Amino acid sequence: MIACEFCDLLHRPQPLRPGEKAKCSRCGGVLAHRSRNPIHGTLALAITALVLLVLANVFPFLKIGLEGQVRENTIATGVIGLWDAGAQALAVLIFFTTILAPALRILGLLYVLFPLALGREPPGVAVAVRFQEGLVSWAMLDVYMLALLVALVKMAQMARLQLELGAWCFFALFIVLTLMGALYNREALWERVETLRWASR
Amino acid sequence: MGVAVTAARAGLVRCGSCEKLLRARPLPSGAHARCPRCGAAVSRRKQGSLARTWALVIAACVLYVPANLFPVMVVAGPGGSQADTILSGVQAMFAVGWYVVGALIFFASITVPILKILCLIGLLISVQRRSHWRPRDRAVLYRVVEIIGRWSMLDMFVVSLMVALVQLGAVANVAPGIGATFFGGVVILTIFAAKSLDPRLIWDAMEEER
Repeated sequence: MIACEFCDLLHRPQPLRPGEKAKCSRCGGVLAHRSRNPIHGTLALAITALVLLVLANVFPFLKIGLEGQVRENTIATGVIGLWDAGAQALAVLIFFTTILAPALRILGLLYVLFPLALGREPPGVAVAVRFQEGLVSWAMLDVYMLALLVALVKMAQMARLQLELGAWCFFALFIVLTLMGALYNREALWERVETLRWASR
Repeated sequence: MGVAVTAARAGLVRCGSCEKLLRARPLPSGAHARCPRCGAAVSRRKQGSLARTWALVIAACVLYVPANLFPVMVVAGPGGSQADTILSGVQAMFAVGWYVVGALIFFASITVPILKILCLIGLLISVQRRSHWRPRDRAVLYRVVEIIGRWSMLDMFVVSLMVALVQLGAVANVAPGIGATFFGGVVILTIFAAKSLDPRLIWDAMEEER
């Protein structure tokens, strides 16, 4: 039996085909979903995301020119700019939601999924799973993407703007992270852990 | 609707961390049950959900006032400096004809936080009054509030980008206002508030009188 996360109603689990979702008959919340290849697929996307995250932070994403001055910007430039301008609390919040939380979530997933894909249970798997799930609502790169578009529109009249390599890395990262979130399946992960535990008994 | 068989009614507890169903056992007072699969502390409902959510919502309401009264962004140029609050920033965008961007910011920084706070208060009151009114719609409302809250960060990110990008010395300079910090506080508090509210309480009231 499984209980609905949102209303506690008990359901008999039905076999799902890959890509299917089961919804609670009473409150309509998602009960379970089955993704294709939840362990290896999520792992592959997490590795891709890690590479893209590094690239998106290393390469500048925007070149801005006005009256002979040209500046190149990375995400970190924004955080440092806020810190220097006296808004330290805001700088920390932005750093956490756009750099630290996505990075830690990806690293947490890698720590869990790499050993699982190789057939081993990583030490402290429960803590690591809870840790990276707790970060999901704080990793706000999708919101940051939209903010970047708004900022571009606002600044287009003040200065000459040019998107750089970092912006494309950033856009790719956004897509990979969205796919990764869709493939990630908590239930499949725990089933895998239990199977490994049974096998090692 | 017949008698709803919930985990609680069947003497089961769902682990909030790994979804395993566990048999509820009486515990000595002060003790915590732990999930045998993942080791997380297990309880039938989120502990102190209503009190915690009320505290966070009230704190968010308090911060919401300075977040709107103080400027979020100060633009200094050759023609003098201009401080914009969230609302005056939206007005300025409409004035120059940027309707799409203006509407987007209005939605993310004004509509979403106000609706989120009002919905949370409404849900809290309905749960405390053991309301039977449209539980399914309230359940959907809760999930919408939980998902949409993060988009309120939009304007904060725009400010941070503008501050970073428009540092062109004498030509133009953008500085963050104290309102932005308060607004960030509102967003954080409402995210925590939505997380601490247990939606199962909506349904518990439906079952009590049977």
